[in-house]
Amino acid sequence: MKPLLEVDHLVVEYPLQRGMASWLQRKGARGLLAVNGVSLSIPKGHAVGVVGESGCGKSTLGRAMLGLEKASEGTVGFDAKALGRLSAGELTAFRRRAQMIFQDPVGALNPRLSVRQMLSEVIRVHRIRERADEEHYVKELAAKVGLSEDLLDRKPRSLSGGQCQRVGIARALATGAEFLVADEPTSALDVSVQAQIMNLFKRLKEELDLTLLFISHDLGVVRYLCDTVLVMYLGRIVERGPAERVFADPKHPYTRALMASIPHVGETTSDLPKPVKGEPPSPINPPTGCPFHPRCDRAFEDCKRAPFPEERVLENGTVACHLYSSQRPRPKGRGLR
Amino acid sequence: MSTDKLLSVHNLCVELSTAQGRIRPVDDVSIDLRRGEVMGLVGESGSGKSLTCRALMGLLPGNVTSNVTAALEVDGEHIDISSTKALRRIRGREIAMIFQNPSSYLDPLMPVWRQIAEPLLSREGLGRGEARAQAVALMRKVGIPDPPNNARAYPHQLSGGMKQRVMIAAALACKPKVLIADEPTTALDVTVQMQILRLLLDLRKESGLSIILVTHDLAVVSMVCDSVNVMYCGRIVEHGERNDVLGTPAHPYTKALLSSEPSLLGEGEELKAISGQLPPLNKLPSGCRYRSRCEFVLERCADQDPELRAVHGAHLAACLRCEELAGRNEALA
Amino acid sequence: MIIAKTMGGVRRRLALPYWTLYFGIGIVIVWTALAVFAPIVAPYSPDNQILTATLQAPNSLHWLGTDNFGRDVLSRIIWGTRVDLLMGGLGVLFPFIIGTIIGTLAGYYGGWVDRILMRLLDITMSFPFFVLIIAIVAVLGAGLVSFFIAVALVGWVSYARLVRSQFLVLKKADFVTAARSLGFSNMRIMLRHILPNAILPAIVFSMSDAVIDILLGSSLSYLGLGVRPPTPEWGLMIAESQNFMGSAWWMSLFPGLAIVILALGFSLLADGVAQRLGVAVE
Repeated sequence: MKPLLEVDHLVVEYPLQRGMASWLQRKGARGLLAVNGVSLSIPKGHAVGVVGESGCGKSTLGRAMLGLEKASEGTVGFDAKALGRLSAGELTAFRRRAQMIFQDPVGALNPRLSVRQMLSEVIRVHRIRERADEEHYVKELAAKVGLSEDLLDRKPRSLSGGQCQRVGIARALATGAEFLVADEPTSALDVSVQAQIMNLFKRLKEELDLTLLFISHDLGVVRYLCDTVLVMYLGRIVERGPAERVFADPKHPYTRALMASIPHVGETTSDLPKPVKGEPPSPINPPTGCPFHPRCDRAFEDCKRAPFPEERVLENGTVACHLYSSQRPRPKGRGLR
Repeated sequence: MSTDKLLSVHNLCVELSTAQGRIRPVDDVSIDLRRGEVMGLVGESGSGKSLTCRALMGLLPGNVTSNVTAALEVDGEHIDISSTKALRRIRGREIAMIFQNPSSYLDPLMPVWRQIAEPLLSREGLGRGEARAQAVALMRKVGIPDPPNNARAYPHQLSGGMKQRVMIAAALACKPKVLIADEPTTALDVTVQMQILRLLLDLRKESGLSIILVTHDLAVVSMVCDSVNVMYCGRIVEHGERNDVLGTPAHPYTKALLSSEPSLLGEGEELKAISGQLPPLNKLPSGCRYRSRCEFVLERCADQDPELRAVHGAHLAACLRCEELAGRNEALA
Repeated sequence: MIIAKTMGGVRRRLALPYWTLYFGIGIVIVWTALAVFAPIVAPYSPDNQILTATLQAPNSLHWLGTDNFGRDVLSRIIWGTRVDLLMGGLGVLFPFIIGTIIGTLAGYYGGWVDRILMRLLDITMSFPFFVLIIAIVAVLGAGLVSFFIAVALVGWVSYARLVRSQFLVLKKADFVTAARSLGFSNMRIMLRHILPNAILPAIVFSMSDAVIDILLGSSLSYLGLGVRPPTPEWGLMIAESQNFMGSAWWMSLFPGLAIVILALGFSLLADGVAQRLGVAVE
């Protein structure tokens, strides 16, 4: 079955303002590579989780997949059409089908509009319903996301974080979106509200057969919702695979480090795992070779000198690490296997 | 961890005057911290956990009309919590505090060694050279690489994890006995979070430092804390050793928090969200404050406001049904 | 300006009490009413020269006295309200509109549009206002029209800056990204999403700008560059009373008080609105 989304060697580069010093030193003209050669495909109805720490490029990837960031190289394809080459009409049609849910639920809403006004605007601009049916549809949307009707005339400042996030989801679904990019949608919420929103995502995914790209630094959240997991580090995918496998048996040293930072119940304080050293590097000055080598406890000579390792296919996903270079290289096609 | 009490605060109440009237965001909180203990103070936003810590240090926002009462004892010495002078004396020396967002708490215009050494310069009256040397030693102790060079750095030149280490070093400058860490890792990446937690535990092991760790993250508590206090609406609703509270929770709120935390779920378990919202502090319900959201609520919960009482030994909970609830659990471990 | 913040309902002690906003509104409304109903309210016509009653101190017939031409000071002040309010009102309106348009275009589109418009702004800012007004007066003669033209040519700068900086910030806000991802057109995002939010600081500024314009207009009239006699205008009245400062104090005091009270009204209004909007807008 043709995947709904296909990303092919995507690069998103931000030009850097270089000072005089680096101009004089003739430093390379490359800017900041927020996304550095990512390829993936998502079948319909699938939930893909993207995990990584600050600077890994997961947010930029999400935005690029909605056409909100320009691809410097590579393509993003939605339903077999490349985003960069859509006509204005096709782009509007795409916008109806693919939407974003934001990290700051309150900031994602126009402070001067009420919930009803926000939803009505979307309905009217895209002519989703006739004027007469608008009211009814707004109520339907509110019910679908568990938002009580008496909140419809409130403005964002009178709503809680969780309620604002529900409004954001309702707004995205108003156009009939099939693909949602959720960029850390629960990070700004309290634990109990997080659970509500996650259950909402789970329910909507099942009811509406939604395709999800779920970006989060919270591994527990990703594990709960996603079928597949991509682990990103400094703009690249270092490991991918079915969620259960990646969590149970991480292959890449970085993935192992991430998994070690999720607590397991029943540990005593003396069991605290040895933390990985160093901090997530800045994409402005990436390390040579494999960017994880300064922090990796299994690094060897090649890791510093050889270029970034290619993704190798294993039985259950891929991993990009020199430790596995003896495996057969990745076939030309994309996909998860 | 010894059994003698290092910090003991009883009946701590913080009353604030607001536009909606007088509220009590901290209502009758009692904490006993033993030497070398890591105590978790857990609750969601609005539970009063941060205010509790700030009240202990006398760091409530100055523009707010507040009234703080408590019986406070530090290392056997009685402290008058209403006296700013007394609190200023113990601040830094006996009790130190680190905060959530290190960027906001570090002076952007001062090199980091100065910020670490500041109490040494002013209070201890050390000379510049000596203070700087001690600052460098502290930086080494908290794991900042290349301390002599990084000492001259300004906060914006350091990463988030480094800045947090600088804050910890500054807090340790006067060798306090208690460190209050208010959500120290919430703003950090997960791998860095582990480093900082590890650092706190190492400091406890080396110097017998007692730590109050304020967090909303039960997962962190489960890895690092010896004992746990769960707060709701300004009250402590459950208290006990970590394994007791997390393994056999006796208060409905604790149980609800545990089942809404995805990383603590067992295989195939569903996430259970807590319905409803925190009641506004100026319009608290009669009886138990949690009853509007509680899945075990009974009619009589509206009549009584339950006190903390023993479920089993030192495991306390403020619920009319606490023994029943604790008994109902299988241990999660 | 004092802007109050509410932190969880706790108000800072520095805030102005709420009633000052209403006081300011009240003052402005009263003056506006006087201006509108001047023909009915004023006891005499402002040009009515009663040569037998010149330089009279305040008495039962002339509550605020008469000037050297025997004109009733009270009536002149009431009629003068029209001129001064017009100076404050239209003197702000034209720069507001021009500045908002320029600020919106520069802030939203950025790039070379922004650069060109900002250079225009720099050029305008370097122009000394008084030189400009003198030049315009020399060409077009003194009067309100010259005043409005000069103020419009120079005054739009502040508004453009305020609106532009708001646009630069709001452009990156999540709800704007959301609007883009919802497929809204640039026009819609610019006008219906960003502008209503971006314009608030400009609105607040306009009220204190009104005060400045009133004072400016009065000063210009005093200098002979603004309104010409015999039009009743408070600044002009003060100018005309120069020779009588010692002997007929009422001729200068009351127009002066009128200026101060109206300026106070607008100031309180500005602070009050800033306070309210600051609370409301978050």
